[in-house]
Amino acid sequence: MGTIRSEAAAAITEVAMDYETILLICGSSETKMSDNVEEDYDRYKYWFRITPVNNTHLGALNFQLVGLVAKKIGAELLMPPKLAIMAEKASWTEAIVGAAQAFLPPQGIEIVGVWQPSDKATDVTAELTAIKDSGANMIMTALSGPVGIPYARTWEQLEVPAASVGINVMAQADDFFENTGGFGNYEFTLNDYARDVALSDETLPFIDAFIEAKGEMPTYNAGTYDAVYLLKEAIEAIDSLDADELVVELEETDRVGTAGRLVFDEKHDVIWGPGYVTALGVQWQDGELKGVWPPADGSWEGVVYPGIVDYQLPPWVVEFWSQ
Amino acid sequence: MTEAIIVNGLVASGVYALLAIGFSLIFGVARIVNLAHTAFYMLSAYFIFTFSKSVGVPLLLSIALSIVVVTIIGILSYRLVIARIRQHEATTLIVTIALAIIMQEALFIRYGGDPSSVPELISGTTEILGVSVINQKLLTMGVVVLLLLASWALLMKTRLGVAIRSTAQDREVANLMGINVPRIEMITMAISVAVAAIAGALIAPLFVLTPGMWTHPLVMILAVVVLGGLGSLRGSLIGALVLGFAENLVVFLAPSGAFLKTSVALTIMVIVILIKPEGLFGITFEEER
Repeated sequence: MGTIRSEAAAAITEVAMDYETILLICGSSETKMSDNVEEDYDRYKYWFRITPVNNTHLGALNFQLVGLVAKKIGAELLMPPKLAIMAEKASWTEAIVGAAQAFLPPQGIEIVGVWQPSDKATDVTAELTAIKDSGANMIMTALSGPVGIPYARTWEQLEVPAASVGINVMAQADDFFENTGGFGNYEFTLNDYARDVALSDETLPFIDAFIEAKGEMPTYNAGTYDAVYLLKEAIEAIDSLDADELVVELEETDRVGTAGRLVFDEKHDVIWGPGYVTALGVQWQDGELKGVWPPADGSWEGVVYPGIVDYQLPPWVVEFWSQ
Repeated sequence: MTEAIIVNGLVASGVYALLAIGFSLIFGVARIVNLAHTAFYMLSAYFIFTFSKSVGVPLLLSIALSIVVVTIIGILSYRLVIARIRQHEATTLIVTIALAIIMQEALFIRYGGDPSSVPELISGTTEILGVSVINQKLLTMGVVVLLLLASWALLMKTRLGVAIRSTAQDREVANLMGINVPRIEMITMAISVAVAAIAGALIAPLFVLTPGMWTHPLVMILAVVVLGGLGSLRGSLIGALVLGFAENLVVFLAPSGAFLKTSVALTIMVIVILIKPEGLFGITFEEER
């Protein structure tokens, strides 16, 4: 089971497939890996992905969050959305950036530029200054590395007049606020869990137990917990460790996990959508991580989770554009 | 955009110059390429983090304590390790990088790999030419200027400075003139590490604390001092300006290639070295021999 960083997961996949060993991906999203299952089933059938959803779905999820913020900007600031893209240079962001450039402008969202720092960049002041100059009122992020910390800190320090929305893995962690020195309020990121939001009956007991054991909230790759039980139950069901028999059993998976209902599609990717795994949009509000998407009014496919609150635009963004 | 490039370029250059000063000083005097230099800067940042957040010592006192502790560690590293092998240049390179990795792994064991941060000395931003600049960065630039002036005053106006310059010019003749060369080198090492520790206090709040935070600045200051000329303080300053502006130009002119900013800066360094192998203000290798 594992691992974060798609480049590493792709390399591990090849070795696991050479040895015809079950590999449950927990942590990397590159869709090219699941394409392998479709293109060469006999070799790659041992590969399954539990968390996160693939980066094609991550792109679609990102667009949902961007749409939510764009609607808010239209309603509160009475202006059309202008989007800057801040995506670390990595395999998993390629599809997201490409899709954003292709699909968002026809939706009325102007893209003013794409900034691609290293995932390990320690300072993105120049990038954020350039975004500030670009006239953007939104920033779509795709950041998984430590760069997410200086990004969020500098974004608030410089009071960049653009709402930040997208994926910032560093902002999913409980110690994000401490790590940024108290900055990063209103950062809005995709996540799998929020403290008060029950995605299934298993979510809140799992979160409570995780916090008790680790002293912090689980992030998206805590889906590994579900993966362990998935494999255990499959082995018990067939009473065998034979990899080929396990593949057949895993393909039949239909299990309620901590992040929703786990079912695999024909490419062995966990299915994303209403009634399955949906993920969450979470926002830092007054130093606490709150679930804000899917919206509480059920406007996304009728999905409603208890514990969701309203998304808030950063006050400096409202103030800047109101002047 | 021009204003933003100028302001951000100056700030980035100040950060690199601060780190490069100490590195250049110890090379100029003792011909030691101390690859652990930025590890001392990292150590300083982590000590400040520990004193201020874990122990609860006030921030300014944490910084003072950290500078003292790191300087003592630097002196001990010099006396116990570096001084014994400094005649062998390749060995010195390997040993100093080993020291840096030991510090990195020790911090990794103690703090783990999660990023953390050090509080700022001064908060807020200031508008310069219409560009918002973080006050901590302005403070860093001010300290760079002060440190450069202090270095100049120390080297040019004090007896210690005369001894340091004499040692830098000709170690053997300085020894014959009655200068205690090993002592001068140790003092220079202490000054160099103290400057790195000050850099840790000033720069760490701008960056992220991780046990790997010493590697990127090391690459950049190596480029800065090689570009400016090994051992030249003036060269380090010019090198820092060239590379700081180069990085910012990449971000502003080619946003989607922002991840290449370090590569572009290093390419400029390589091109300059190919044209002028001794760097902009360095001593030619032939002269050195």
